[in-house]
Amino acid sequence: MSRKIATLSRGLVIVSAVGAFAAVSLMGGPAGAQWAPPPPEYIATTEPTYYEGHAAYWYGGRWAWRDEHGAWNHYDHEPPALADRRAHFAPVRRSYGHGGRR
Amino acid sequence: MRHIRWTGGAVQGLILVAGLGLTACDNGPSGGQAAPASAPSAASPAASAAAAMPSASAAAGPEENVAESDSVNEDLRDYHRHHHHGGVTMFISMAIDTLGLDPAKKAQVEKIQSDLRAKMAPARDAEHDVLATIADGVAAGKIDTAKVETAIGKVATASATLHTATSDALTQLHDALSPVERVALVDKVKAHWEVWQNVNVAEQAGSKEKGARLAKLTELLALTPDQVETISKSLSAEVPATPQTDPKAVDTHIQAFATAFEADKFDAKSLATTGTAAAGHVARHGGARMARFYEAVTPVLTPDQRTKLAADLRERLDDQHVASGK
Repeated sequence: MSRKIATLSRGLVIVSAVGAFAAVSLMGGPAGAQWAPPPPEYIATTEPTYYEGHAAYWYGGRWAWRDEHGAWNHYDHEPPALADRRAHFAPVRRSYGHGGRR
Repeated sequence: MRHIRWTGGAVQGLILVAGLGLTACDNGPSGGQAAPASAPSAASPAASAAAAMPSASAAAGPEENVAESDSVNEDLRDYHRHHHHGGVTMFISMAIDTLGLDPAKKAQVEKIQSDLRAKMAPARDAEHDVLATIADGVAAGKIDTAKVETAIGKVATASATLHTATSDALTQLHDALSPVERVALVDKVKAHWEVWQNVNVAEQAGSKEKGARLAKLTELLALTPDQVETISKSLSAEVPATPQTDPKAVDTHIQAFATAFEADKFDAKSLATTGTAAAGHVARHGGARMARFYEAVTPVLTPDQRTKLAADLRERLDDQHVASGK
């Protein structure tokens, strides 16, 4: 019996550690602090997709948009309409090099 | 028995992992940099949901081509290093390029953009003279500084009248766009101004860093390390900002434009004060910095390098928003 409890406890400790690691990774990963909004060069040269009252830009693997306070936000889970949009249309960018539109 | 014990631990573990994972994942939008704690949900209703469909027609994979993105970004930075006519009006005209409007509205707005470009023609022609004079000087081995300064002055003078000349076109532009499209345009104007400042103010004139003006020239002309060092030293003394080239006036004008343009009613004439105060800064500061760069570069180049650089500068006379009709 005590052996069973010991095994369970060990499992609990290991799995708790794994779970905590997973949680920290998810919160501190691309969805959180490491995510960076599009740079000004990207905003200036890319056509947005208008969705729910925002100009949304596909950047860094996420849809980014500004709220009414001017702060950048992104969706952790891609809205189906935007996913569908992205599946059919590549982001259109304008090049100001000698070659013109790409 | 041992298998059962292991299974019991694993089940508990899976429950914990699932619970913690769910806690970590938020189904809504996440705040980006400087996002306030009270950032509204992205699911909030809006009148113009999906109102405008971008005009992209080429289906492609979802993954972004990073190399192409870098090159587009670099092209824009290089563009703003060489073109300074029109000031804020130029940024507005360029912002129209990537609004992503539906075809009917796009045609309407492109007419307004053509009008804006027509009004910018005197400033654009004056900028042609600046670039052509610099190109001639590079080819000859000595730039006529006085002639370049006079030409830059003409760009600034021509740019200074633009706000008044384009008031009607700006009001038409406002009325043609939906609220969300107007916000997108303002974002793009601010983005162009930020890029312009990054390459014409923040970037050290003699910087050898990747992507800087000197690094681009090194790539174009295969400059030797000695040449790079000489040019970098010559450019290292920054020219201090003078009241004539104070960017705060442009900041103030862009902010005033943003507030006015995002509102339901817009009268461009109400921005005359900030527009006049900001007039000419981009042309004067940007033009002077560009001239100074090529004045420092030219004496260090070989004849072949000068020929190549002069040709590159003349090609810029045909850049978008610079050549007529582009």
